[in-house]
Amino acid sequence: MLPSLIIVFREVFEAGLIIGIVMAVTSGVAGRGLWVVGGVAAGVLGACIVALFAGGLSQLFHGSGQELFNASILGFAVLMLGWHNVWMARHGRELAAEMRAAGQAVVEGSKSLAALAAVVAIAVLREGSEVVLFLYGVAAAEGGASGGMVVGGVIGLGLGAVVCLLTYLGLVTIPTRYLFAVTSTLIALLAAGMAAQAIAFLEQADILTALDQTVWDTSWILRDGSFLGRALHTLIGYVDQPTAMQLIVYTATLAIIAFLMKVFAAPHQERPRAA
Amino acid sequence: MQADAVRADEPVTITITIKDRQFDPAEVHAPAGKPIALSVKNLDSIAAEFESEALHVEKVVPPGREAVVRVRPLEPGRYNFFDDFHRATQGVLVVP
Repeated sequence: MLPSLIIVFREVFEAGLIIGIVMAVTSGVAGRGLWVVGGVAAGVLGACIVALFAGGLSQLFHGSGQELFNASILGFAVLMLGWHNVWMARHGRELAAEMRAAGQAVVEGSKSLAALAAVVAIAVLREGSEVVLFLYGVAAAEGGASGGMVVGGVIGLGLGAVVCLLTYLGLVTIPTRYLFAVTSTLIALLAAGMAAQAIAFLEQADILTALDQTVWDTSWILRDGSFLGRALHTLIGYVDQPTAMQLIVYTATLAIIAFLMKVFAAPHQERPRAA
Repeated sequence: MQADAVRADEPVTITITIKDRQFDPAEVHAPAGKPIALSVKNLDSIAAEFESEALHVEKVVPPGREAVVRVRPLEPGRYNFFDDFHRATQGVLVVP
């Protein structure tokens, strides 16, 4: 039971962090629960499909199919996260006004929900496909799913949900005044981390080999394979031995998102001065 | 002009098979400072995930398939790798 629990939890908790952040970022937006659930469902379905075609996928593109697929969906998630931030920079004010007036953001909020639901789906799909492959392998090897394996998997899933809840609860305590700045930063870091992760997959597949020197080694401080290391890896893209290309893409992603947010920001409205 | 010179960055290929949930060979060697291509063949009937934190690689190897992962040039040391779906399956890459 324990191996099943550990493996499922390790895969699921990274998705749990992302879902918790998305839930917090969209709190107050009408119908966001449905969008997130939809994203999770789409991710689970996608995970089953990917697991089903894992054999064929691995052989595509001279054996690099898996890495190209991962890099592509991560890249798409980066675009969705960046778009969300830019959209919020433009419409965040309207959103906040709508929420103050109606207690809920009904119309304006829904546009950014689709992008975030896509990010949720991608996170669930990536982690989920490995869980599906693992569970199928265990079931096939022992001639049928053992009760212990199922219980372990369910508990692992439950623990992942707890991580999601804790992340959400921790974030929604932030006062509204700072919420926009904090969530924009979180989303931008999430995006930069995913962009660097996409690069790592391309490096692993030997598709991208430029600037692959290891720039520093902080594994003596925090190994990125450890529990805390993996949490930081998901949240801010922490890697204990980054390559030059990963660092460049990470920084460029942050810079581009910040730049686009500035360019597309809603124009300031002057408050009328008292005579 | 150098003709027929071996490219300095040509990877060293090392083949590892997974059979009966064990790596064969479980200990492999590679020279320092050269990129490495690990060719992992899964001869079992269930999927394995070839992973190494030290080498920063992770790749699912479906049953009956071969996966190649590229590893950046390494310093001397011992680098553990494992099957993430079955942690008891372990091996080590030794760089003298």
